[in-house]
Amino acid sequence: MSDIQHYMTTHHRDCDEILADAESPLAEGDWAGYQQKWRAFVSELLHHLTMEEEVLFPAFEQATGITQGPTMVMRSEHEQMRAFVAQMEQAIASQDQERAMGLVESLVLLIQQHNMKEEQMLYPMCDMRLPDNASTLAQMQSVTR
Amino acid sequence: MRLSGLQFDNIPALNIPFRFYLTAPIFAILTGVLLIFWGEQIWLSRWMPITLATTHLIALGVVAMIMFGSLFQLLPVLCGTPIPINSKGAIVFISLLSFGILCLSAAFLQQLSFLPALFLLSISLLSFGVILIYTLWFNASGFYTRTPVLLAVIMLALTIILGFSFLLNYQTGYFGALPKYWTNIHAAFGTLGWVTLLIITISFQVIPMFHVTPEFPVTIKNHYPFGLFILLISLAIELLFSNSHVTFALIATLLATYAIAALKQLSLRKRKLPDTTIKFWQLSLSSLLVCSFLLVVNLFTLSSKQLPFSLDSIIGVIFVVGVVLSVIQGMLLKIVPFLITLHLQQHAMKYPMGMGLMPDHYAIISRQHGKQLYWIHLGTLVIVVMSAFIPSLTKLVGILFIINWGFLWLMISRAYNAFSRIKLDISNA
Ligand SMILES: [Fe+2]
Ligand SMILES: [Fe+2]
Repeated sequence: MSDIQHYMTTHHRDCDEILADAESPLAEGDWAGYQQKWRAFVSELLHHLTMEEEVLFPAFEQATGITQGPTMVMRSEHEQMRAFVAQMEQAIASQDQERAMGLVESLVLLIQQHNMKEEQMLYPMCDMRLPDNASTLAQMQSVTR
Repeated sequence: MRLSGLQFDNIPALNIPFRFYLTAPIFAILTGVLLIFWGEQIWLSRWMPITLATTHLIALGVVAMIMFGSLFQLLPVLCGTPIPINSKGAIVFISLLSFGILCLSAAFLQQLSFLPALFLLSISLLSFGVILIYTLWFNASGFYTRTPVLLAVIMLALTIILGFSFLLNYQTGYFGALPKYWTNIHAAFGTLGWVTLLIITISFQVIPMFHVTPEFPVTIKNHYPFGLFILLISLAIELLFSNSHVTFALIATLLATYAIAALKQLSLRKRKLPDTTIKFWQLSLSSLLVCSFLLVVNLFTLSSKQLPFSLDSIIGVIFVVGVVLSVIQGMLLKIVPFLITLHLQQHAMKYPMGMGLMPDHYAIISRQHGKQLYWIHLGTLVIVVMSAFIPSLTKLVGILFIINWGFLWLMISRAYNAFSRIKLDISNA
Protein backbone atom coordinates (compact mmCIF):
# COMPACT_ATOMS: atom_id res chain seq x y z
CA MET A 1 0.00 0.00 0.00
CA SER A 2 1.57 3.26 -1.01
CA ASP A 3 -1.42 5.56 -1.58
CA ILE A 4 -0.15 8.57 0.31
CA GLN A 5 3.39 8.21 -0.96
CA HIS A 6 2.20 8.08 -4.55
CA TYR A 7 -0.35 10.88 -4.34
CA MET A 8 1.88 13.33 -2.49
CA THR A 9 5.01 12.59 -4.54
CA THR A 10 3.06 13.25 -7.72
CA HIS A 11 1.86 16.51 -6.25
CA HIS A 12 5.45 17.50 -5.40
CA ARG A 13 6.41 16.96 -9.04
CA ASP A 14 3.43 19.01 -10.21
CA CYS A 15 4.50 21.90 -7.99
CA ASP A 16 8.09 21.61 -9.32
CA GLU A 17 6.81 21.92 -12.87
CA ILE A 18 4.59 24.90 -12.19
CA LEU A 19 7.51 26.72 -10.53
CA ALA A 20 9.92 25.77 -13.34
CA ASP A 21 7.35 27.15 -15.74
CA ALA A 22 7.34 30.47 -13.90
CA GLU A 23 11.12 30.76 -14.26
CA SER A 24 11.17 31.64 -17.96
CA PRO A 25 9.24 34.94 -17.70
CA LEU A 26 11.40 35.82 -14.67
CA ALA A 27 14.62 35.14 -16.60
CA GLU A 28 13.29 37.31 -19.45
CA GLY A 29 12.19 40.10 -17.11
CA ASP A 30 8.51 39.73 -18.11
CA TRP A 31 7.01 40.79 -14.78
CA ALA A 32 3.35 40.51 -15.74
CA GLY A 33 3.84 36.97 -17.02
CA TYR A 34 5.96 36.05 -14.03
CA GLN A 35 3.51 37.41 -11.51
CA GLN A 36 0.68 35.37 -12.99
CA LYS A 37 2.65 32.11 -13.04
CA TRP A 38 4.15 32.73 -9.61
CA ARG A 39 0.65 33.20 -8.13
CA ALA A 40 -0.42 29.91 -9.70
CA PHE A 41 2.55 28.23 -8.04
CA VAL A 42 1.90 29.80 -4.65
CA SER A 43 -1.71 28.68 -4.59
CA GLU A 44 -0.68 25.09 -5.42
CA LEU A 45 2.12 25.16 -2.83
CA LEU A 46 -0.10 26.54 -0.07
CA HIS A 47 -2.73 23.93 -0.88
CA HIS A 48 -0.08 21.23 -0.46
CA LEU A 49 1.10 22.63 2.86
CA THR A 50 -2.48 22.81 4.13
CA MET A 51 -3.16 19.19 3.19
CA GLU A 52 -0.13 18.14 5.20
CA GLU A 53 -0.59 20.40 8.19
CA GLU A 54 -4.32 19.93 8.63
CA VAL A 55 -4.76 16.27 7.71
CA LEU A 56 -1.59 14.22 7.22
CA PHE A 57 0.59 15.45 10.07
CA PRO A 58 -2.16 15.26 12.73
CA ALA A 59 -2.98 11.74 11.52
CA PHE A 60 0.70 10.78 11.78
CA GLU A 61 1.04 12.35 15.22
CA GLN A 62 -2.06 10.55 16.46
CA ALA A 63 -0.99 7.17 15.08
CA THR A 64 2.57 7.32 16.39
CA GLY A 65 2.27 9.58 19.41
CA ILE A 66 5.27 11.58 18.15
CA THR A 67 4.56 15.30 18.08
CA GLN A 68 8.04 16.74 18.65
CA GLY A 69 9.69 14.73 15.86
CA PRO A 70 9.67 14.87 12.06
CA THR A 71 6.33 16.67 11.75
CA MET A 72 7.61 19.50 13.91
CA VAL A 73 10.62 19.93 11.63
CA MET A 74 8.38 19.73 8.55
CA ARG A 75 6.01 22.37 9.92
CA SER A 76 8.91 24.68 10.63
CA GLU A 77 10.24 24.26 7.09
CA HIS A 78 6.76 25.07 5.79
CA GLU A 79 6.94 28.32 7.77
CA GLN A 80 10.27 29.06 6.10
CA MET A 81 8.68 28.48 2.68
CA ARG A 82 5.91 30.93 3.58
CA ALA A 83 8.54 33.47 4.67
CA PHE A 84 10.23 33.21 1.25
CA VAL A 85 6.85 33.58 -0.46
CA ALA A 86 6.25 36.79 1.51
CA GLN A 87 9.68 38.12 0.54
CA MET A 88 8.93 37.34 -3.10
CA GLU A 89 5.85 39.59 -2.97
CA GLN A 90 8.16 42.49 -2.12
CA ALA A 91 10.62 41.55 -4.86
CA ILE A 92 7.77 41.49 -7.39
CA ALA A 93 6.47 44.83 -6.15
CA SER A 94 9.89 46.44 -6.60
CA GLN A 95 10.67 44.42 -9.79
CA ASP A 96 14.01 43.37 -8.33
CA GLN A 97 15.16 40.60 -10.69
CA GLU A 98 18.33 39.54 -8.84
CA ARG A 99 16.45 39.29 -5.58
CA ALA A 100 13.61 37.34 -7.18
CA MET A 101 16.08 34.92 -8.81
CA GLY A 102 17.86 34.43 -5.50
CA LEU A 103 14.57 33.78 -3.72
CA VAL A 104 13.47 31.24 -6.32
CA GLU A 105 16.81 29.46 -5.96
CA SER A 106 16.55 29.39 -2.16
CA LEU A 107 12.96 28.22 -2.28
CA VAL A 108 13.69 25.46 -4.81
CA LEU A 109 16.59 24.13 -2.72
CA LEU A 110 14.52 24.30 0.47
CA ILE A 111 11.59 22.52 -1.17
CA GLN A 112 13.81 19.85 -2.76
CA GLN A 113 15.49 18.82 0.44
CA HIS A 114 12.21 19.06 2.34
CA ASN A 115 10.45 16.85 -0.22
CA MET A 116 13.31 14.36 -0.18
CA LYS A 117 12.83 13.85 3.55
CA GLU A 118 9.06 13.51 3.16
CA GLU A 119 9.28 11.11 0.23
CA GLN A 120 12.03 8.94 1.66
CA MET A 121 10.88 8.79 5.27
CA LEU A 122 7.68 10.52 6.28
CA TYR A 123 5.28 9.33 3.55
CA PRO A 124 6.43 5.69 3.67
CA MET A 125 5.96 5.79 7.43
CA CYS A 126 2.48 7.26 7.02
CA ASP A 127 1.53 4.52 4.59
CA MET A 128 2.75 1.92 7.07
CA ARG A 129 1.52 3.35 10.33
CA LEU A 130 -1.80 5.06 9.64
CA PRO A 131 -4.78 2.89 10.60
CA ASP A 132 -6.83 3.91 7.56
CA ASN A 133 -4.73 5.67 4.99
CA ALA A 134 -7.41 5.50 2.32
CA SER A 135 -9.66 7.75 4.38
CA THR A 136 -6.75 10.05 5.30
CA LEU A 137 -6.05 10.39 1.59
CA ALA A 138 -9.72 11.14 0.87
CA GLN A 139 -9.69 13.77 3.61
CA MET A 140 -6.63 15.41 2.08
CA GLN A 141 -8.22 15.47 -1.35
CA SER A 142 -11.30 17.18 0.08
CA VAL A 143 -9.31 20.03 1.64
CA THR A 144 -10.67 23.21 0.08
CA ARG A 145 -8.34 25.51 -1.78
CA MET B 1 11.59 1.51 9.01
CA ARG B 2 12.91 2.51 12.40
CA LEU B 3 11.97 5.82 13.95
CA SER B 4 15.54 6.30 15.10
CA GLY B 5 16.48 6.39 11.41
CA LEU B 6 14.78 9.75 11.19
CA GLN B 7 17.73 11.93 11.95
CA PHE B 8 16.75 15.23 10.51
CA ASP B 9 19.21 17.41 12.29
CA ASN B 10 22.52 15.64 12.65
CA ILE B 11 24.34 17.80 10.12
CA PRO B 12 27.70 19.04 11.46
CA ALA B 13 28.42 22.57 12.64
CA LEU B 14 28.84 24.91 9.67
CA ASN B 15 32.44 25.73 10.61
CA ILE B 16 33.51 22.11 9.99
CA PRO B 17 33.06 21.97 6.19
CA PHE B 18 33.99 25.65 5.89
CA ARG B 19 37.40 25.12 7.50
CA PHE B 20 38.14 22.59 4.77
CA TYR B 21 36.78 24.90 2.06
CA LEU B 22 38.86 27.82 3.30
CA THR B 23 42.07 25.77 3.58
CA ALA B 24 41.91 24.24 0.09
CA PRO B 25 42.32 27.49 -1.92
CA ILE B 26 45.53 28.23 0.00
CA PHE B 27 47.09 25.07 -1.44
CA ALA B 28 45.91 26.03 -4.92
CA ILE B 29 47.52 29.45 -4.50
CA LEU B 30 50.74 27.81 -3.31
CA THR B 31 50.65 25.63 -6.43
CA GLY B 32 50.27 28.80 -8.47
CA VAL B 33 53.40 30.26 -6.86
CA LEU B 34 55.41 27.10 -7.61
CA LEU B 35 54.17 27.17 -11.20
CA ILE B 36 55.30 30.77 -11.64
CA PHE B 37 58.85 29.97 -10.54
CA TRP B 38 59.51 26.41 -11.69
CA GLY B 39 56.45 25.59 -13.75
CA GLU B 40 58.06 25.08 -17.15
CA GLN B 41 59.80 21.97 -15.89
CA ILE B 42 56.54 20.16 -15.16
CA TRP B 43 56.17 19.31 -18.84
CA LEU B 44 59.51 17.49 -18.97
CA SER B 45 58.32 14.39 -17.13
CA ARG B 46 55.97 13.25 -14.43
CA TRP B 47 59.00 12.36 -12.33
CA MET B 48 60.27 15.93 -12.06
CA PRO B 49 60.32 17.12 -8.42
CA ILE B 50 58.11 20.09 -9.32
CA THR B 51 55.57 17.83 -11.09
CA LEU B 52 55.33 15.53 -8.09
CA ALA B 53 55.07 18.48 -5.70
CA THR B 54 52.33 20.31 -7.62
CA THR B 55 50.24 17.22 -8.40
CA HIS B 56 50.20 16.25 -4.73
CA LEU B 57 49.46 19.80 -3.58
CA ILE B 58 46.40 19.75 -5.84
CA ALA B 59 45.36 16.13 -5.23
CA LEU B 60 45.62 16.28 -1.43
CA GLY B 61 45.57 19.97 -0.58
CA VAL B 62 42.77 21.06 -2.90
CA VAL B 63 40.76 18.08 -4.14
CA ALA B 64 40.89 15.76 -1.12
CA MET B 65 40.55 18.70 1.27
CA ILE B 66 37.29 19.85 -0.34
CA MET B 67 35.97 16.32 -0.77
CA PHE B 68 36.66 15.49 2.88
CA GLY B 69 34.86 18.65 3.97
CA SER B 70 31.93 17.75 1.77
CA LEU B 71 31.79 14.17 3.06
CA PHE B 72 31.23 15.50 6.59
CA GLN B 73 28.28 17.35 5.16
CA LEU B 74 26.98 14.74 2.74
CA LEU B 75 27.13 11.56 4.80
CA PRO B 76 24.34 12.62 7.19
CA VAL B 77 22.15 13.63 4.25
CA LEU B 78 22.94 10.76 1.86
CA CYS B 79 23.64 7.91 4.27
CA GLY B 80 21.76 9.03 7.38
CA THR B 81 24.82 9.03 9.63
CA PRO B 82 27.31 11.68 10.69
CA ILE B 83 31.09 11.19 10.69
CA PRO B 84 31.89 11.54 14.38
CA ILE B 85 33.98 14.70 14.65
CA ASN B 86 33.66 18.00 16.50
CA SER B 87 35.12 21.40 15.65
CA LYS B 88 38.30 20.75 17.64
CA GLY B 89 38.80 17.37 15.99
CA ALA B 90 38.38 19.01 12.60
CA ILE B 91 41.00 21.66 13.41
CA VAL B 92 43.50 19.00 14.53
CA PHE B 93 42.81 16.87 11.46
CA ILE B 94 43.11 19.78 9.03
CA SER B 95 46.34 20.98 10.69
CA LEU B 96 48.00 17.56 10.64
CA LEU B 97 46.90 17.01 7.06
CA SER B 98 48.00 20.47 5.93
CA PHE B 99 51.45 20.24 7.50
CA GLY B 100 51.75 16.74 6.11
CA ILE B 101 51.02 17.98 2.60
CA LEU B 102 53.50 20.86 2.97
CA CYS B 103 56.21 18.47 4.21
CA LEU B 104 55.45 16.07 1.37
CA SER B 105 55.87 18.81 -1.25
CA ALA B 106 59.06 20.04 0.41
CA ALA B 107 60.36 16.46 0.36
CA PHE B 108 59.53 16.10 -3.33
CA LEU B 109 61.44 19.34 -3.91
CA GLN B 110 64.34 17.75 -2.02
CA GLN B 111 64.23 20.25 0.82
CA LEU B 112 63.28 17.77 3.53
CA SER B 113 63.33 14.08 4.35
CA PHE B 114 60.15 12.12 3.69
CA LEU B 115 59.80 11.09 7.34
CA PRO B 116 57.86 14.14 8.65
CA ALA B 117 55.39 13.85 5.77
CA LEU B 118 55.03 10.15 6.34
CA PHE B 119 54.40 10.69 10.04
CA LEU B 120 51.88 13.54 9.68
CA LEU B 121 50.00 12.07 6.74
CA SER B 122 49.76 8.62 8.23
CA ILE B 123 48.27 9.92 11.47
CA SER B 124 45.76 12.17 9.71
CA LEU B 125 44.80 10.14 6.65
CA LEU B 126 44.81 6.72 8.24
CA SER B 127 42.68 7.79 11.20
CA PHE B 128 40.26 9.55 8.88
CA GLY B 129 40.13 6.52 6.57
CA VAL B 130 39.48 4.13 9.45
CA ILE B 131 36.72 6.32 10.92
CA LEU B 132 35.14 6.76 7.49
CA ILE B 133 35.18 3.06 6.62
CA TYR B 134 33.87 2.16 10.09
CA THR B 135 31.03 4.69 9.81
CA LEU B 136 30.07 3.57 6.32
CA TRP B 137 30.28 -0.10 7.22
CA PHE B 138 28.37 -0.12 10.51
CA ASN B 139 26.15 2.96 10.58
CA ALA B 140 25.35 4.01 7.04
CA SER B 141 22.18 3.36 5.09
CA GLY B 142 21.08 4.63 1.69
CA PHE B 143 20.85 2.08 -1.09
CA TYR B 144 22.40 4.11 -3.89
CA THR B 145 25.09 5.84 -1.90
CA ARG B 146 26.48 3.69 0.90
CA THR B 147 28.27 1.06 -1.18
CA PRO B 148 29.55 3.41 -3.92
CA VAL B 149 30.94 5.85 -1.33
CA LEU B 150 32.51 2.90 0.47
CA LEU B 151 34.10 1.72 -2.80
CA ALA B 152 35.49 5.21 -3.41
CA VAL B 153 36.95 5.30 0.10
CA ILE B 154 38.50 1.84 -0.37
CA MET B 155 40.14 3.19 -3.55
CA LEU B 156 41.40 6.15 -1.53
CA ALA B 157 42.79 3.80 1.12
CA LEU B 158 44.60 1.72 -1.51
CA THR B 159 46.01 4.89 -3.10
CA ILE B 160 47.28 6.11 0.27
CA ILE B 161 48.78 2.75 1.26
CA LEU B 162 50.65 2.61 -2.06
CA GLY B 163 51.78 6.22 -1.55
CA PHE B 164 53.06 5.44 1.93
CA SER B 165 55.03 2.45 0.71
CA PHE B 166 56.64 4.66 -1.98
CA LEU B 167 57.67 7.17 0.69
CA LEU B 168 59.09 4.42 2.88
CA ASN B 169 60.96 3.12 -0.11
CA TYR B 170 62.33 6.57 -1.03
CA GLN B 171 63.51 6.89 2.52
CA THR B 172 65.07 3.45 2.94
CA GLY B 173 65.84 2.49 -0.65
CA TYR B 174 64.73 -1.02 0.31
CA PHE B 175 63.24 -1.99 -3.06
CA GLY B 176 65.51 0.17 -5.16
CA ALA B 177 63.96 2.02 -8.08
CA LEU B 178 60.20 1.47 -8.21
CA PRO B 179 58.75 -0.25 -11.25
CA LYS B 180 56.45 2.15 -13.12
CA TYR B 181 53.64 -0.34 -12.59
CA TRP B 182 53.08 0.63 -8.97
CA THR B 183 52.99 4.38 -9.55
CA ASN B 184 50.59 3.87 -12.46
CA ILE B 185 48.26 1.95 -10.17
CA HIS B 186 48.62 4.64 -7.49
CA ALA B 187 47.64 7.32 -10.02
CA ALA B 188 44.81 5.29 -11.57
CA PHE B 189 43.25 4.38 -8.21
CA GLY B 190 43.54 7.96 -6.97
CA THR B 191 42.09 9.70 -10.01
CA LEU B 192 39.69 7.21 -11.60
CA GLY B 193 38.95 5.30 -8.40
CA TRP B 194 38.61 7.66 -5.48
CA VAL B 195 37.90 10.99 -7.20
CA THR B 196 35.84 9.90 -10.20
CA LEU B 197 33.89 7.25 -8.31
CA LEU B 198 32.92 9.83 -5.70
CA ILE B 199 31.98 12.44 -8.31
CA ILE B 200 29.81 9.93 -10.16
CA THR B 201 28.06 8.78 -6.96
CA ILE B 202 27.43 12.29 -5.71
CA SER B 203 26.18 13.45 -9.11
CA PHE B 204 23.41 10.82 -8.99
CA GLN B 205 22.08 12.59 -5.90
CA VAL B 206 22.86 16.26 -6.38
CA ILE B 207 22.03 16.75 -10.07
CA PRO B 208 18.37 15.70 -9.68
CA MET B 209 18.08 17.51 -6.35
CA PHE B 210 19.77 20.84 -7.09
CA HIS B 211 18.71 21.15 -10.71
CA VAL B 212 15.34 19.37 -10.66
CA THR B 213 16.12 16.94 -13.48
CA PRO B 214 14.64 13.44 -13.88
CA GLU B 215 16.45 10.69 -11.96
CA PHE B 216 19.45 9.01 -13.63
CA PRO B 217 18.59 5.73 -15.42
CA VAL B 218 18.54 2.90 -12.87
CA THR B 219 21.00 0.78 -14.88
CA ILE B 220 23.62 3.51 -14.64
CA LYS B 221 22.93 4.20 -10.96
CA ASN B 222 23.08 0.51 -10.07
CA HIS B 223 26.00 -0.66 -12.15
CA TYR B 224 28.43 2.13 -12.96
CA PRO B 225 30.14 2.66 -9.59
CA PHE B 226 30.52 -1.09 -9.14
CA GLY B 227 31.60 -1.52 -12.76
CA LEU B 228 34.29 1.14 -12.47
CA PHE B 229 35.60 -0.39 -9.24
CA ILE B 230 35.79 -3.91 -10.72
CA LEU B 231 37.43 -2.63 -13.92
CA LEU B 232 40.09 -0.77 -11.95
CA ILE B 233 40.88 -3.80 -9.81
CA SER B 234 41.11 -6.05 -12.86
CA LEU B 235 43.25 -3.41 -14.58
CA ALA B 236 45.67 -3.59 -11.67
CA ILE B 237 45.80 -7.38 -11.82
CA GLU B 238 46.15 -7.56 -15.60
CA LEU B 239 48.90 -4.94 -15.71
CA LEU B 240 50.98 -7.19 -13.45
CA PHE B 241 51.22 -9.72 -16.25
CA SER B 242 50.71 -7.92 -19.53
CA ASN B 243 49.22 -4.76 -20.96
CA SER B 244 45.46 -4.51 -20.78
CA HIS B 245 44.17 -2.46 -23.67
CA VAL B 246 40.71 -3.98 -23.49
CA THR B 247 40.18 -3.08 -19.84
CA PHE B 248 41.49 0.42 -20.47
CA ALA B 249 39.09 0.84 -23.38
CA LEU B 250 36.23 -0.45 -21.21
CA ILE B 251 37.04 2.08 -18.51
CA ALA B 252 37.12 4.86 -21.10
CA THR B 253 33.78 3.67 -22.50
CA LEU B 254 32.21 3.60 -19.06
CA LEU B 255 33.39 7.14 -18.31
CA ALA B 256 32.27 8.42 -21.71
CA THR B 257 28.79 6.90 -21.44
CA TYR B 258 28.45 8.28 -17.91
CA ALA B 259 29.43 11.73 -19.16
CA ILE B 260 26.91 11.56 -22.00
CA ALA B 261 24.16 10.34 -19.67
CA ALA B 262 24.85 13.11 -17.16
CA LEU B 263 24.95 15.78 -19.90
CA LYS B 264 21.61 14.46 -21.09
CA GLN B 265 20.14 14.70 -17.57
CA LEU B 266 21.25 18.31 -17.39
CA SER B 267 19.71 19.09 -20.76
CA LEU B 268 16.41 17.61 -19.50
CA ARG B 269 16.18 20.03 -16.62
CA LYS B 270 12.90 21.86 -16.60
CA ARG B 271 14.14 24.91 -14.76
CA LYS B 272 14.73 28.01 -16.84
CA LEU B 273 16.85 30.29 -14.65
CA PRO B 274 20.46 30.64 -15.82
CA ASP B 275 22.78 28.80 -13.39
CA THR B 276 26.58 28.89 -13.39
CA THR B 277 26.80 25.56 -11.55
CA ILE B 278 25.23 23.95 -14.63
CA LYS B 279 27.98 25.46 -16.77
CA PHE B 280 30.65 24.06 -14.43
CA TRP B 281 29.03 20.61 -14.63
CA GLN B 282 28.87 20.79 -18.42
CA LEU B 283 32.52 21.82 -18.61
CA SER B 284 33.50 19.00 -16.27
CA LEU B 285 31.52 16.35 -18.14
CA SER B 286 32.73 17.52 -21.55
CA SER B 287 36.30 17.37 -20.26
CA LEU B 288 35.62 13.83 -19.06
CA LEU B 289 34.40 12.96 -22.54
CA VAL B 290 37.60 14.41 -24.05
CA CYS B 291 39.74 12.55 -21.50
CA SER B 292 38.15 9.20 -22.23
CA PHE B 293 38.57 9.79 -25.97
CA LEU B 294 42.25 10.67 -25.49
CA LEU B 295 42.73 7.64 -23.23
CA VAL B 296 41.73 5.43 -26.16
CA VAL B 297 43.88 7.43 -28.61
CA ASN B 298 46.74 6.96 -26.18
CA LEU B 299 46.38 3.19 -26.39
CA PHE B 300 47.07 3.24 -30.11
CA THR B 301 49.93 5.71 -30.07
CA LEU B 302 51.67 4.42 -26.97
CA SER B 303 53.89 1.91 -28.74
CA SER B 304 54.74 3.98 -31.79
CA LYS B 305 55.62 7.27 -30.03
CA GLN B 306 54.29 9.27 -32.97
CA LEU B 307 53.46 12.38 -30.98
CA PRO B 308 55.80 15.30 -30.41
CA PHE B 309 54.23 16.00 -27.00
CA SER B 310 53.23 13.87 -24.04
CA LEU B 311 49.61 12.82 -24.39
CA ASP B 312 49.79 11.52 -20.82
CA SER B 313 50.38 15.00 -19.44
CA ILE B 314 47.59 16.48 -21.55
CA ILE B 315 45.13 13.86 -20.32
CA GLY B 316 46.38 14.55 -16.80
CA VAL B 317 45.82 18.30 -16.87
CA ILE B 318 42.46 18.06 -18.64
CA PHE B 319 41.39 15.58 -16.00
CA VAL B 320 42.61 17.57 -13.02
CA VAL B 321 41.71 21.09 -14.13
CA GLY B 322 38.88 20.31 -16.57
CA VAL B 323 37.05 17.46 -14.88
CA VAL B 324 37.84 17.74 -11.18
CA LEU B 325 38.45 21.43 -10.46
CA SER B 326 35.41 22.39 -12.58
CA VAL B 327 33.00 20.18 -10.70
CA ILE B 328 34.48 21.16 -7.34
CA GLN B 329 34.06 24.88 -7.99
CA GLY B 330 30.58 24.43 -9.43
CA MET B 331 29.55 22.46 -6.36
CA LEU B 332 31.04 25.04 -3.99
CA LEU B 333 29.07 27.81 -5.71
CA LYS B 334 25.88 25.88 -4.98
CA ILE B 335 26.68 24.21 -1.70
CA VAL B 336 28.14 27.22 0.18
CA PRO B 337 24.94 29.31 -0.02
CA PHE B 338 22.85 26.15 0.43
CA LEU B 339 24.61 25.18 3.66
CA ILE B 340 24.46 28.70 5.01
CA THR B 341 20.72 28.84 4.33
CA LEU B 342 20.23 25.42 5.91
CA HIS B 343 22.00 26.45 9.10
CA LEU B 344 20.25 29.80 9.27
CA GLN B 345 16.92 28.01 8.90
CA GLN B 346 17.71 25.79 11.86
CA HIS B 347 18.65 28.87 13.80
CA ALA B 348 15.45 30.64 12.77
CA MET B 349 13.42 27.72 14.14
CA LYS B 350 14.53 28.88 17.57
CA TYR B 351 13.87 32.54 16.71
CA PRO B 352 10.82 32.46 14.40
CA MET B 353 10.67 36.26 14.38
CA GLY B 354 13.87 36.25 12.35
CA MET B 355 12.59 34.14 9.46
CA GLY B 356 12.07 37.20 7.29
CA LEU B 357 15.78 38.03 7.60
CA MET B 358 16.84 34.92 5.72
CA PRO B 359 19.12 35.97 2.84
CA ASP B 360 18.29 34.71 -0.65
CA HIS B 361 20.68 32.35 -2.44
CA TYR B 362 22.43 35.01 -4.53
CA ALA B 363 22.75 37.42 -1.62
CA ILE B 364 25.37 35.00 -0.26
CA ILE B 365 27.40 34.57 -3.46
CA SER B 366 26.18 36.84 -6.23
CA ARG B 367 25.40 35.51 -9.70
CA GLN B 368 27.87 38.01 -11.09
CA HIS B 369 30.73 36.61 -9.01
CA GLY B 370 29.78 33.06 -9.93
CA LYS B 371 29.95 33.94 -13.63
CA GLN B 372 33.30 35.69 -13.21
CA LEU B 373 34.68 32.64 -11.41
CA TYR B 374 33.56 30.45 -14.31
CA TRP B 375 35.29 32.57 -16.94
CA ILE B 376 38.54 32.78 -14.96
CA HIS B 377 38.47 29.01 -14.53
CA LEU B 378 37.71 28.40 -18.21
CA GLY B 379 40.60 30.69 -19.13
CA THR B 380 42.88 28.73 -16.80
CA LEU B 381 41.85 25.46 -18.44
CA VAL B 382 42.51 26.78 -21.95
CA ILE B 383 45.91 28.20 -21.00
CA VAL B 384 46.98 25.10 -19.09
CA VAL B 385 46.26 22.89 -22.12
CA MET B 386 48.07 25.35 -24.41
CA SER B 387 51.07 25.38 -22.11
CA ALA B 388 51.59 21.67 -22.79
CA PHE B 389 52.62 22.86 -26.27
CA ILE B 390 54.10 26.24 -25.26
CA PRO B 391 55.79 25.62 -21.87
CA SER B 392 56.56 29.33 -21.35
CA LEU B 393 52.82 29.86 -20.78
CA THR B 394 53.07 27.90 -17.53
CA LYS B 395 53.91 31.12 -15.64
CA LEU B 396 50.57 32.51 -16.78
CA VAL B 397 48.87 29.35 -15.52
CA GLY B 398 50.41 30.03 -12.12
CA ILE B 399 49.09 33.60 -12.12
CA LEU B 400 45.62 32.45 -13.18
CA PHE B 401 45.60 29.82 -10.44
CA ILE B 402 46.33 32.50 -7.86
CA ILE B 403 43.58 34.78 -9.21
CA ASN B 404 41.05 31.96 -9.54
CA TRP B 405 41.49 30.50 -6.07
CA GLY B 406 42.16 33.81 -4.34
CA PHE B 407 38.81 34.97 -5.70
CA LEU B 408 37.08 31.79 -4.54
CA TRP B 409 38.66 32.09 -1.08
CA LEU B 410 37.35 35.66 -0.80
CA MET B 411 33.85 34.60 -1.82
CA ILE B 412 33.72 31.77 0.70
CA SER B 413 35.08 33.83 3.56
CA ARG B 414 32.71 36.69 2.81
CA ALA B 415 29.85 34.20 2.72
CA TYR B 416 30.89 32.88 6.12
CA ASN B 417 31.08 36.37 7.58
CA ALA B 418 27.62 37.11 6.21
CA PHE B 419 26.39 33.95 7.90
CA SER B 420 27.72 35.01 11.30
CA ARG B 421 26.26 38.49 10.91
CA ILE B 422 22.80 37.33 9.83
CA LYS B 423 22.72 34.66 12.52
CA LEU B 424 23.19 37.38 15.09
CA ASP B 425 20.49 39.52 13.46
CA ILE B 426 18.07 36.60 13.60
CA SER B 427 18.74 36.07 17.30
CA ASN B 428 18.07 39.75 17.94
CA ALA B 429 14.96 39.98 15.76
FE1 LIG C 1 5.82 19.32 3.44
FE1 LIG D 1 4.98 17.56 0.88
